Amino acid sequence: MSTNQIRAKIDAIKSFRAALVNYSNKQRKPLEDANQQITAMKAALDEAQSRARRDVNVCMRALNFCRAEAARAAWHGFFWDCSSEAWALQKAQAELRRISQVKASFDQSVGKFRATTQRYKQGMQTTLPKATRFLDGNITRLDAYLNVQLTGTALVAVPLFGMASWVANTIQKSVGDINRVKGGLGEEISAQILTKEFDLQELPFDQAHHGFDRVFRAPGISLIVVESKINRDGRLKLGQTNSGEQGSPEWIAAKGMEMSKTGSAQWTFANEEIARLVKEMGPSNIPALTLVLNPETGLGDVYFRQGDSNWKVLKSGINLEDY
Amino acid sequence: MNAIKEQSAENWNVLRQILSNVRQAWSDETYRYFEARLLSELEKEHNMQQRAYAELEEAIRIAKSALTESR
Repeated sequence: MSTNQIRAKIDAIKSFRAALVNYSNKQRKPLEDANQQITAMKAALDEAQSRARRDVNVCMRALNFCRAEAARAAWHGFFWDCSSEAWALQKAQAELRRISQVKASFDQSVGKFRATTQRYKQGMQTTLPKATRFLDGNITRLDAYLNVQLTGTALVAVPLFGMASWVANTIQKSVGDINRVKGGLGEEISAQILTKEFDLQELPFDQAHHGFDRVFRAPGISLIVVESKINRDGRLKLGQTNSGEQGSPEWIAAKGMEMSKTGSAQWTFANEEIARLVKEMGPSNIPALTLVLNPETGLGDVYFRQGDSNWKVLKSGINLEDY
Repeated sequence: MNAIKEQSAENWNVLRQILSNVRQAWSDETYRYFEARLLSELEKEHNMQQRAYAELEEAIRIAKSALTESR
């Protein structure tokens, strides 16, 4: 397979990945529109119910007045007819019952709709990240091939699912070229390390450019932000951004804010949930880990942030061949 | 409300169209995995939501009709 063919494949998968995230973003609009229509209909029903209730009260007062007059008239030996007031009250009460039933029935339908929508959102929060992760894996593999310029024969041998051991082999075989291999490889290895060494559980998350690399959780910790670096000298070097250093509370807060904004490139159903966790926990309380993978030595180090910008080694000398 | 259901359906159709355009980028095995494990799941969720829109549409129609009657 020629490099141009591989590039075309990468572009095609990337375009579908973008379409998938775009689909997720666009599906928010119909949900918002539906909610607006629900709100409008509820308001109309509330108003109709209030109006019907007012009518009942007016009719009730009219009937009471009529009955008082009828009692006075009877005292003087006259008859005072209140049947029209009584009929009007019955009619108003029937209308109130009817509107109340319509309202209850609508509320029930809305409850059912909201329950389905909640399931839909939860589904999108888990299925979409699985799909984007799958596509990212495809892109990473093809990128890696492109960069290490493996032959077409080797391309066929790529494992479809689970590539940690393949990645390790690639690193071993192509140390000189590894700095050209995209970050996806490092992230994949980092995810494997955190899962195996620290028993962390990866959270559903749609990775976007300039956002978190990966997100995890651990017992009692709802969110852990992870950065992954491949560095030939094995040193921890974090990017400085307009929102502060990568992994800093300011940076986490800024990324959380971007992910919560509908219409932003970072928003998806899953990322909105991550943004909610950032807000709930507070950026300063969210543990941040950075893994530095050294392709020269084949070793990796894990750092954790202490305070605002003080990074300490959590574990060093992890053998990448094990992954 | 029907417009909302259609809008949602249109988003899904666009996604399917783009997928068919890039179909050749994957091996058969990879595509089958994606279709069976992930796309079918997304489609199931999409269809479930489409039914919910249809039911809500009917509830809104009934409520509107009841309000017209009361006026």
